[in-house]
Amino acid sequence: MAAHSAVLSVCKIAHPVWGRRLGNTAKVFGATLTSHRNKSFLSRENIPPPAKYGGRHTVTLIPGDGIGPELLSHVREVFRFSCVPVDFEVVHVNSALETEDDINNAITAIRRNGVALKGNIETKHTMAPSVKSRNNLLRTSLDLYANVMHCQSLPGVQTRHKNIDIIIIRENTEGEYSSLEHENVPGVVESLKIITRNNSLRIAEYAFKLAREKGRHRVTAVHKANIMKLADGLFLQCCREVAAGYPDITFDSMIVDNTTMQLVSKPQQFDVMVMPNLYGNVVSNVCAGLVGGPGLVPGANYGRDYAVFETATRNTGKSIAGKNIANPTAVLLASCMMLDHLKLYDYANLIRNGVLTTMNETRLHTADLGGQGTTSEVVQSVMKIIQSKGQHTSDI
Amino acid sequence: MAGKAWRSAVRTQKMYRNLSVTLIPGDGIGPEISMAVMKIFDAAKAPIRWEERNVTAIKGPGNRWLIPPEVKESMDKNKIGLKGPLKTPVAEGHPSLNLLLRKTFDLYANVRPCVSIDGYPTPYTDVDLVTIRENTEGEYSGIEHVIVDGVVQSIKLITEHASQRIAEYAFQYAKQNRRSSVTAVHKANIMRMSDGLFLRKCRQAAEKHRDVKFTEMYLDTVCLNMVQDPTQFDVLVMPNLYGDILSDLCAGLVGGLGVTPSGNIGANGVAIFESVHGTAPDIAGRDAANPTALLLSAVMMLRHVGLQHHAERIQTACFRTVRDKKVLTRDLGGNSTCSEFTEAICQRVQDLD
Repeated sequence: MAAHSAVLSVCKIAHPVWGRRLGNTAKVFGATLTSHRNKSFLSRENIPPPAKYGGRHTVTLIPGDGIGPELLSHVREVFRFSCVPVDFEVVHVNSALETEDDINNAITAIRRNGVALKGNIETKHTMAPSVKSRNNLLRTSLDLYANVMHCQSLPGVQTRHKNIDIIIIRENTEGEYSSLEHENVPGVVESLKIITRNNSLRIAEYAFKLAREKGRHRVTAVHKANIMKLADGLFLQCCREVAAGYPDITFDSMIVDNTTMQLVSKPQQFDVMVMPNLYGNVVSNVCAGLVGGPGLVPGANYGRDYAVFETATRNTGKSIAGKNIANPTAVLLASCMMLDHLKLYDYANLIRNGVLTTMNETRLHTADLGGQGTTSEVVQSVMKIIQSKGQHTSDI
Repeated sequence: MAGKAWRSAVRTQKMYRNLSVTLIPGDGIGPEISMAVMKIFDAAKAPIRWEERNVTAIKGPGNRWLIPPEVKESMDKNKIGLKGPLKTPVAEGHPSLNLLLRKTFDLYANVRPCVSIDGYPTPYTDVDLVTIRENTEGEYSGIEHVIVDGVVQSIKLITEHASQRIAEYAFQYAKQNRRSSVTAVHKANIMRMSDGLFLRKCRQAAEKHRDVKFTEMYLDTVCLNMVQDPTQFDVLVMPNLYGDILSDLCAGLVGGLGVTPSGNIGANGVAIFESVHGTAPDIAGRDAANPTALLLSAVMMLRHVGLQHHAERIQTACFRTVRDKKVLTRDLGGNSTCSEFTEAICQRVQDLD
């Protein structure tokens, strides 16, 4: 803590403009959060204020497995370099253990801080079925009901389809991911998919509110109600009910298999899409693949009280771990989304600009995009661009 | 098992030099495209004798809906069928006829080879994969109930028997068609017991067929990689819902349902090949339909019964006609009628001799 305040004071002394900005941030502490740049919506007013002390936010960091630890350490490097007033509380989750102590600690830490940045925690499905997916446990315990992913074609990335701009909103807590399974007799297994009216209304409401806020014109519900008449039928009905309250936004629906077919031939027709859990998994991965791969798209999980940021496709990347070839774009952009959530918009834009310039103008690409760059080279480039903007930075 | 049954069926048929196949033209554009296929097979001198039957559901004893007995008889005798698109019944009281056929003949595997067509460009080139989908259980068991008002439960059923059957079939198919690898698609990280059971059965089948490479991949990883590089996949085997989504995704990669063949394999050596597009009532009777999907399904049927030579000739004729772009139906980007397109393929087949 002392070291951080020292850095703060050094930053203040060294650059008057920057120091003033930091001073303003400190003033916001304790005041009602009604900034004119308030970009949040829903019942944000009821959410407990984020963990903030002395002008600095505390955010839980879960490194996860595979490429998670190395990429998140790069995020910390960039934050430290840019003097971002965020401190990370690191919580390790050991996926090899069968007890749930680790993940419970992580959940408590997120409850404490309100915001988290995480890598994917591996789920070894060779373990007993009672050992549930840690990521899923985190999402359901914190009731992070909306998974939001924005897929945009980037000019610097070569893809088969251009001009894609789709926002995918996926129900994150129920559906096929309810983890309710049983073996009735040996050799016959039932897995329950639960759809509730409340959660369907909630996610539909979120989707329409977000669409309105972002100035979008069309919301498409993805379902399979011709086969799963009751379950997806209920979901669709809830979407229709909510749509009635938003006459300015067009609402239509599409069956999931047709949706995937349309996505690979004409993805430009989609605007905002809302869907239950499993179809969300499929559609978000298809869209991520269309815009350039898992290394590019950030994702966010929002609940009423908490928010957790990660890459959109939640890959562990075991095969490329430790080789310095992973693409840091998705994680860096996710950290920018987190900064937006914490209302540190200037820092968010600064880092985002650095990342996108590296991607589109400098065209320094990692192997997944067909380039030769290493992770560290990309991060260095980002930091150089941040430095060139004239903001004060600490030594690399 | 299924392999032995159809092999002996083929042997018996070959003795009579003409394989008898049940043809169900279907509704809408069904009759037109069936005519087209018959014409092309005639021109190619394929040793097939068509037995046309119509499928209209009838109510049997115990208030159950059945397919007409003459259809069942024909299929039981011939074992091989070719089907055009069937109308989806809306408020007609009987369930979908596709569902009835599936239940009657226990059509447990849906096979869709997706191959890029030379003259019909899509953003994806060099696609050559096969999706094998379990067709009887899984998420489509139709078991749903409202627990309390506002809470609905839908049951996904996975059984050892069905998983074993489909896994066995996938490896057999890979062997017979000289494919190098089989990938099991699952979500066992989330649905541990159900997809875990499916995966275990796939692994057991892999042990018995060590000459075919076996890999497992999560559904989301498959989707992600499929749209970036579909050439890395060969044969994919999966439960019902994932199969539905992935097979349509792959159809989209090669150009859509109008050019995708499909086969349904059942117990006791029964196999029904079909086109998966709709009945297109708006263009029915106007000689505007594209028979490619049904034709390619018929080609798939020829391969299934061992008539590789004829299959190759007809497929080559079809692909070359499309590649030439001189005579194409409306949906393929041309101005010709169905009969003109059919005639062009017939000519091409005869020229290939």
